[in-house]
Amino acid sequence: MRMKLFSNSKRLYQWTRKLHLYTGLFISPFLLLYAISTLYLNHSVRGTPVDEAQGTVPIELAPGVEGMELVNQVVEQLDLSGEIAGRGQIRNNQTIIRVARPGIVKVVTVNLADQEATVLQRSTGLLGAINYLHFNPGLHRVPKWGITKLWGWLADTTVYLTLFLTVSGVYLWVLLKAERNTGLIMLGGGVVSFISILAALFFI
Amino acid sequence: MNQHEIKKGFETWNRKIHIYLGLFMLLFIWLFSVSGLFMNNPKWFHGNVERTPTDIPVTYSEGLDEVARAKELRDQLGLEGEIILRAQRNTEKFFFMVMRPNKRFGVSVDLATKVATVNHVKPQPVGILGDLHTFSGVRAIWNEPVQERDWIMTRIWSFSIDVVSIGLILIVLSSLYMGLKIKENRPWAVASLAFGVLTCSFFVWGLSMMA
Repeated sequence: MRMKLFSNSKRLYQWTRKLHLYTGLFISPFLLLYAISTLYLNHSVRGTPVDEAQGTVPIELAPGVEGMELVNQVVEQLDLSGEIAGRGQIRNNQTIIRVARPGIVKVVTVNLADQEATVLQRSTGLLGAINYLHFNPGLHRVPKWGITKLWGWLADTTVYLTLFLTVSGVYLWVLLKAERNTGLIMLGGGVVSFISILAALFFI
Repeated sequence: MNQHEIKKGFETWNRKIHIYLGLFMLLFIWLFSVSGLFMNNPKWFHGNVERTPTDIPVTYSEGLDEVARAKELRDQLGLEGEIILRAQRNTEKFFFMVMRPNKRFGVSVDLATKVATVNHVKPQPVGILGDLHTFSGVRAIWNEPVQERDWIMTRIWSFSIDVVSIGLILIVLSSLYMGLKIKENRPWAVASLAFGVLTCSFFVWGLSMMA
């Protein structure tokens, strides 16, 4: 009976260790992306976008079209894909549509009278790409593009795996007798710091 | 000390740093993970915020710039928190917000009557999580003409965010070193990392290259 318990706990330890290793390696690039972009966002650092005019092209729009139907017609004719911002509101015979993906935004100015669209490509670089991915999806940013939805699912998965890594990490540490005392001091220090800062933020 | 000992010492400390940083940052990581999950799923944020307006007479010094005037009024009204000061739209009023993660105060001072309407806004618990996630004091979305952290707790929280980010980078780097050093089942370790790198790269670089 004792042998069986020992064998089960050993197997649990080995499996937890393996899963901690493999899931940790898989999500490591995602964690780096979030950690690095956090440093930039925390100091409100933004890259300088580079604009490139991509020319003006003729388009055929149905008479009187506006709103999302107008947006859809333009996006389809220009063969653009990405997260679309713009509701097709017409002002001075023009509407502006932004089609964004990580690192790039295409700004399309549609002239309804002349039936033409002018495309400007705004490149935000690596910094813009990781900031975009950090923000999307987010509050007031409900994804419509399938790829953003996929990223949102991956971001959720990153959180679940991170929570698993922390719990499995604590389990693996508890079994390490050599690191127990210093580990307890570090854990205690973290808990005290966390509670003190939050208490000051909320109640001072 | 020979090269072997240096390497062994590095490996020992690399492992210790991984464990100690992970334990120290445990609650911070949980907070930012769970709040990130909520922010990633905006439908989870629901419920109404509580708003309580109060009118209070105030005085203020003439000739101060807007930031100094907001600080003076904040202190006079006994409010604590980060000042959010946007461009003023109404010339007859002076508006600013005092924000902390669990409450906000919208202050609108009528310049003619010198009466401040303080709107106390109390967010829902999930809203507090979201505010903790983003409480840097210099958010671009606030569109402040002068971006500065003017509350000591904003500086401390912002510093904590930096520490957690740098700590997380160190944890990841130490895990990469340890993970790829393990000889047992190395192909699986390499495959896990490669899968993560390729998936992440597709979003960071691939999508813009395909545009």
